[in-house]
Amino acid sequence: MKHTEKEMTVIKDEVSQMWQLVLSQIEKVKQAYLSSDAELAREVVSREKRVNTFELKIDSDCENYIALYSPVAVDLRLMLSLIKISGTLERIADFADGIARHVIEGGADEVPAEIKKELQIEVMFDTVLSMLSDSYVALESENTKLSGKILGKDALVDDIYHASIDILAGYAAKDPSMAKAMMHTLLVMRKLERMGDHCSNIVEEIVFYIDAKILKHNKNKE
Amino acid sequence: MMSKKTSQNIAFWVFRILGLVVVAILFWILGFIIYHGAGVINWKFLTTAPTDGMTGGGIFPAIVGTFCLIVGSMVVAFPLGVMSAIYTTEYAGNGKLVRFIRIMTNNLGSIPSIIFGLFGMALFVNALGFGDSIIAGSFTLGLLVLPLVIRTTEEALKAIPDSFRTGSLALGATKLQTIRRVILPMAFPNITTGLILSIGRVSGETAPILFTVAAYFLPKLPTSIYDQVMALPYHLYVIATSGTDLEATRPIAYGTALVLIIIVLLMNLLASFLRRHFGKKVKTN
Amino acid sequence: MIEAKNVNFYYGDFHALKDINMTMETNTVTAFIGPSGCGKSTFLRLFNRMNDLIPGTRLEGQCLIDGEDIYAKSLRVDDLRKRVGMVFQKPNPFPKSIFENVAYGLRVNGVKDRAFIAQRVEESLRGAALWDEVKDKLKKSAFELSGGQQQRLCIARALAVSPSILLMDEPASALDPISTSKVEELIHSLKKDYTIVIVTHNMQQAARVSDKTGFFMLGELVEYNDTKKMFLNPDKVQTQNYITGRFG
Repeated sequence: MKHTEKEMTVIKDEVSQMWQLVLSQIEKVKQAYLSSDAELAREVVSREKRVNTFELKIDSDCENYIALYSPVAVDLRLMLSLIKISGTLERIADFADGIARHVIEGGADEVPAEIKKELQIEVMFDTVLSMLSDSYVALESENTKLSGKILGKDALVDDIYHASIDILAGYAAKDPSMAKAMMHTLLVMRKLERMGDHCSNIVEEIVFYIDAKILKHNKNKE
Repeated sequence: MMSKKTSQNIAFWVFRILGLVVVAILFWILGFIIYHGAGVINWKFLTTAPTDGMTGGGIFPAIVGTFCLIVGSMVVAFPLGVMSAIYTTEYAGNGKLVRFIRIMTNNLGSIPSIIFGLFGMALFVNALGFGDSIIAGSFTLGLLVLPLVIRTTEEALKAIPDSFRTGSLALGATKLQTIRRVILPMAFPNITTGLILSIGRVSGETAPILFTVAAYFLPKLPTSIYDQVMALPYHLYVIATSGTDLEATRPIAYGTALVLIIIVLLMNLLASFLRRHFGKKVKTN
Repeated sequence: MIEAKNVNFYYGDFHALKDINMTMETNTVTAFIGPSGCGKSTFLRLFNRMNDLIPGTRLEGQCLIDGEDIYAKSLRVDDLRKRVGMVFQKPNPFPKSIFENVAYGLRVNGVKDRAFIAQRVEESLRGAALWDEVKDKLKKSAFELSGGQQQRLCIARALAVSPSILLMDEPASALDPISTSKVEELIHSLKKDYTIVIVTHNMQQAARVSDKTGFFMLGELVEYNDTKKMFLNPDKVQTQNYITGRFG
């Protein structure tokens, strides 16, 4: 293997480690939120730093790779998309961190489990998780067949989020003392909805890397 | 106005005709000599001594004498010439001394051959006491062709790109190793060109051997390097101008000329064969 | 370790290298870049004393290899050149067989043991990543090889005398891209055993192969830095202008 390829493998390994870390952060924050586990949430918060470190490392490695090896074509697209993907993963992890802090502040306790169920928060978590793990598979296997399916899941996340507004507004109207908790919950769902959007961006980056197609800002034509 | 193509064509034909003229002259001379000389050449002519006041018999002693002088002069000129060329191109740099040596070498080359003959007589025959002998003649002829050997060897050495020298030196080879193992083998084919030219020159020269070695008539073969010999060019001169019966010896003169030319041609062929043979081995890219 | 201390170098009256201080660590690749005539090749050639061959040159300052002054009177130049191999811009194999080319350095050093020579030739050709391509035609002329193979043969030839340092003067500038990439890979793999200094016109090449890079301009060492730093965030504005192509 050429030494440039070895360098590239190193970067790819870092990205995949970061990816696993972010997936486990979401998994943990899901558990923490659903079971109001502040301990687990603290773990998520403390590991957020590692995600940030990964982002910085991957960014600087990609910069070095571009500066030293002047990649072109598929290699250049990989470097550009990895830079963006690492930033996006970091944003996703930020949202997980935000939810975890909310759990630590006792926010998850304020909402009864039935309401969480009615809001389909777990479904939302699972959908985001599957989007993120599917897109990882797409990158690893350099196969974009799944991209349409992954992007489709974002619509589900959006739908749940939009439906939640009415539900939360209803509870808030019924019991004004719940209004603040409901608004906090909306913020959590908003974060999950944003995570879904970021997952879509990652898929778009993967499609740019593998197929050199630009899916961004192009939804109307599809 | 002539078109570019027409002027090209005219120039091309001028060059081609001039080239053909040169070849034609060569063939004319060769043809002339073969026509007149071929008749007398037979085994006996080549292997016996002249008889009957040089109006009969062969030219064997002259052939042997010429060969002796070729070998002798090469033994003198070749090592000396090659080594001085190696000194001036590889070692000496480009200082005043080297430029002086080079100018002097060229001057040496333009000295008339009769002067060499006189010098050879003064130095080798008289001062060093060699007498009229193969060794005196060989030294004289050797000095005559020395500039030629030096110049062709210098050219051969200069034609080797410096990258081979630096490449060898960079591997920790000394200068002498570089010259012996890389430069000389590469230059060898071109150095043999110098050898060819010198042999041609040596076998044809009359003036330098006139006072140093050549015998007017000496039917026996030499037994040592201090003996006199007959030589083809001088023999030719003798039987063509001062024989006992010029008319009777005319065919023998043409025969002698033919033999001389054949020897020179054979030498050239041999040398160019050698050159091609080694050239293949050391061909540079 | 290679060191240059206050090195000044003159071609006659021309001041070619100006007060250069530099240290090159063992088992690293150092690249010299800079515009033509900036002195980078001259500087490289100080370390196997190739400049000695040019009349009218003068050196001030010290060149040290592992602490030893290589211009000391007691040191023999041919011994130095065994320790410091050199590869040139144009492949310059000798008009000999592939085997004899590699064996040349050993033979001029008086090695007679045929088994040892054969073993070193194979090791060197393997080291230069050429063995598999030539093992069946070692007796063939070196000129039958392609340009890239010839250059790797020249590298093998240099490796055969077991140097600790390899100087390369634009080793890939006469080669096509595929051969260039092979030579670059080779440089990368040789790094673990040799200290390599390479002069190159090609900045990308310097970036690809080297650990540290020195930028020369008008006989001065403008900047000497980690290659990554040099190509991402050089300290000097001249360096930035040169590597970005804004020079001049």
